[in-house]
Amino acid sequence: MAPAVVITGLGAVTALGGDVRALAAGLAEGRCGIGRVALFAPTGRAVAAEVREEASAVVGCLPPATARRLSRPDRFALLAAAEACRTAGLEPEFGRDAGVYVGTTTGGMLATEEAYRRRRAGEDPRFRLSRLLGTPLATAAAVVSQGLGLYGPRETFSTACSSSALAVAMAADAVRRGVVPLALAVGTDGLCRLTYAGFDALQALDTEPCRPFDRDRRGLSLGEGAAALVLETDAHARARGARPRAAVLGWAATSDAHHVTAPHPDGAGALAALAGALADARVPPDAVDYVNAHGSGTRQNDAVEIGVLRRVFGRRLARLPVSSTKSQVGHCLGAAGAVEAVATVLALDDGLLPPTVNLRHLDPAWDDLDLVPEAGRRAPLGVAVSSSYGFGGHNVSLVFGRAAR
Amino acid sequence: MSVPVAVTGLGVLSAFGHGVDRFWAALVAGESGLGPIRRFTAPPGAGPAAEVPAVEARAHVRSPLGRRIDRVSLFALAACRLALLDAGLDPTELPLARTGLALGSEFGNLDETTTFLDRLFARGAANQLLFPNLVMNAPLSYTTIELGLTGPSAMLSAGEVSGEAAVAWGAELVAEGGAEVCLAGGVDELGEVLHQALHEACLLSATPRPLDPCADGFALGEGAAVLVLESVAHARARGARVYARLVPVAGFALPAPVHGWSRDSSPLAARLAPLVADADAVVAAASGEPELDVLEAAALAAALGGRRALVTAPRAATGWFGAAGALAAATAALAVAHDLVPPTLGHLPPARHGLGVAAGRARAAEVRVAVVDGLARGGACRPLRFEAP
Amino acid sequence: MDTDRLRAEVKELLVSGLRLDVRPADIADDTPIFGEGLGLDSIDALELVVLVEERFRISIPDEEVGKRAFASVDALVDFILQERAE
Repeated sequence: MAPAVVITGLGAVTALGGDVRALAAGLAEGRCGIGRVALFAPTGRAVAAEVREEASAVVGCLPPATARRLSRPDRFALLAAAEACRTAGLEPEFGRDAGVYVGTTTGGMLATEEAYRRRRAGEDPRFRLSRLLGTPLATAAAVVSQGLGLYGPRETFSTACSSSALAVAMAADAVRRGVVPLALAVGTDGLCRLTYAGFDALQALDTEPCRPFDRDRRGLSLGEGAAALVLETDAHARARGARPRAAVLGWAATSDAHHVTAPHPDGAGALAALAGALADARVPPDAVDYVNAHGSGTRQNDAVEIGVLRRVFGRRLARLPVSSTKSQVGHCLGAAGAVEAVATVLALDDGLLPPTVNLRHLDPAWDDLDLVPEAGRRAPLGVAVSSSYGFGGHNVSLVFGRAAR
Repeated sequence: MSVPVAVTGLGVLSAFGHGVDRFWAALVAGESGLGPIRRFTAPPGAGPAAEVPAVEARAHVRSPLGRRIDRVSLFALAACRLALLDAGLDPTELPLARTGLALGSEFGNLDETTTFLDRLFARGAANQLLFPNLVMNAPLSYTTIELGLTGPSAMLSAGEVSGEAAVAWGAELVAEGGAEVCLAGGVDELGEVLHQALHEACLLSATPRPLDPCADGFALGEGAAVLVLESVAHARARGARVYARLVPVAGFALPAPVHGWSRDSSPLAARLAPLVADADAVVAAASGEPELDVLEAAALAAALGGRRALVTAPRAATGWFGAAGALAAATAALAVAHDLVPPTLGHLPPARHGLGVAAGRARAAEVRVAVVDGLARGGACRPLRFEAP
Repeated sequence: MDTDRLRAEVKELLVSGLRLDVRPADIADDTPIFGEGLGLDSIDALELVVLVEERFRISIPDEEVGKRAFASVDALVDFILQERAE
């Protein structure tokens, strides 16, 4: 019998604010963090969920020379990770064997593209290494590890929009198998010109804040930020007096093997991930109380996703709340999986369903469904699912359970 | 319940050519893969690099989507196909939902990212055909699509240990029964911008000399290596040739500057000691970069404690790139299979700390255990352990 | 060129260019730029070469010259004055 894996610490930096408290409050109020892009002059009209609080607080113990060279996503990751470790009440001695599992898609690309632009334009006579240090995606994991004294195994995953969902799954797997006594799962990504322009060129962005599941949805809204979760076995948590916020019951990851950007029209891979996760969790579909959808707001994704949910949950779907927190924090790409895992854990722990905001007209094909429109709602939740679907067909579903009191 | 994992196939793209045979023959013969860069114009005075001879997309791509495949994804796909061929596995007969894929890359698609940014900065316009190729997991996506793999897959990016990280992930997957077969390896390409940036920072050398006290820099390279991993039982059942067993070993980290190398080799020596206690060969991370050389030589010497394991540093011949560790993994498996340790190019004895660096010519020796130490900036360590089957 | 103004400019450049967490006025003229003084390292050294060459339109051809020029704020000011006089 595999040991139970629990979550004992949470951290988050999003457009709704610089910590979990701000995220929870924003989600509950149905506040939308998507607005004008101020970080750079956008090449299109799409809005995004930008992290407004300039994370200037110095956290962790990094030498000043290192701290001042951190890319934005590295800073977000360190802040979120520090909050997670703090709320988990982690003493330094637990850092020695703690694993660090990170998901990200572009790392420090904003600084990289600017350094490149300046060099090409001759504004810099030489490339500035100090601006390129955050380019390798593995940097965030190194920052978190060195900044917080975590010296177990270190992995960085990059599977597009499911990157940090995979990181959470891998962290849970490592804890479950006893590879590490404790693990930190982190997701981080920052807005950058390349990502913005790329999605815009694919006509995947809405010029207004995204409207997941809306009849007139027109695309996604990019977001940015970081989220972190501390995972350990239930026994380990109780032994050190830590309170579990939720349990990780199971997970599954699949590949569509279909297209480099479009999801499989039948959602076969997504369905396999959801069904596989429920099987891994030994939870029947009937026992699920809430689904935190991928819900990106593109015409394709939302339709395929509802199709998958109908096939797995059948008629019960009408009574199963489903919401997309991307409607409030945007699509945080590599950070999305972790941000949404945190939102799902908050839902279980606080008994509060996050809403799908910006819903004006439900798509008629699913007006029988409960998409938690506009405002958060109190509801006792026992089991919740969070799914993430990445470009190239990489699907991850995570199953969480309310912590035993 | 962990099952023993076998390495049954190797697919390698290197400056020496396509295929593991070319790679191994050149490596043991002491050839250098470094030469003048052909693909782009290097800055004047910039050093040579190890460039993979052009790969024909037509030879490896079957799906219509693949006509847009980028070089890094093509390298990965080609290496996978070569690995399967080497393993005697027919891609059309793989148990698709039970075949895993793990790829590692440090920088991914450098070339097309540059092209995309050039146009974006010059005209504010973005190329929508290129964008899907720019995500780090493009090689994973293209390969799963081409081979129809729907099993567990992961794209990892772990700096200098991107190759080791993917190989270790694949080994654990097979060991834990998550897949019957797993293709695992790494890929990185030579980038014009990367090359120029490192040249301008004075980090490159025309004659890299790993583990040599006169080491004054490294040379860039590119390549891909993929290992076919399956359970020993599965390999035996189908009569496959086994290069070596891959014994999963936990990765770890040590205090170090986030963007650099530790100056204190003692903690690393202490962690490596049990791993290399019975090693006959060690495939080192050394590339000629002085800080890494100093750290690794001291750590290995202390860890080996006077035992004369043969140390080889293939990056002198293959060039340095994030996924070079995948080629190091292939080297270790081959060393075990052939009882032969390739020489470290450019190295003139004596080595730092009296390390037994194989230099001059390949050394024939019984190699029952070969260890890739797997060191990365920022204190990460992702070792791999290969044992005779 | 007004030496005091140049000295202030150099300190300004150090702080803003290298993103240091100190006020320009608080950098002593004879503080070693590398080593204990300002906590700079080899990456900062590369950056500083670019910044100084660009701002003051001079050339720092190699590491040896750089080491002498960057010994302290005073040393750097002297170096700039010397280079510009030529």
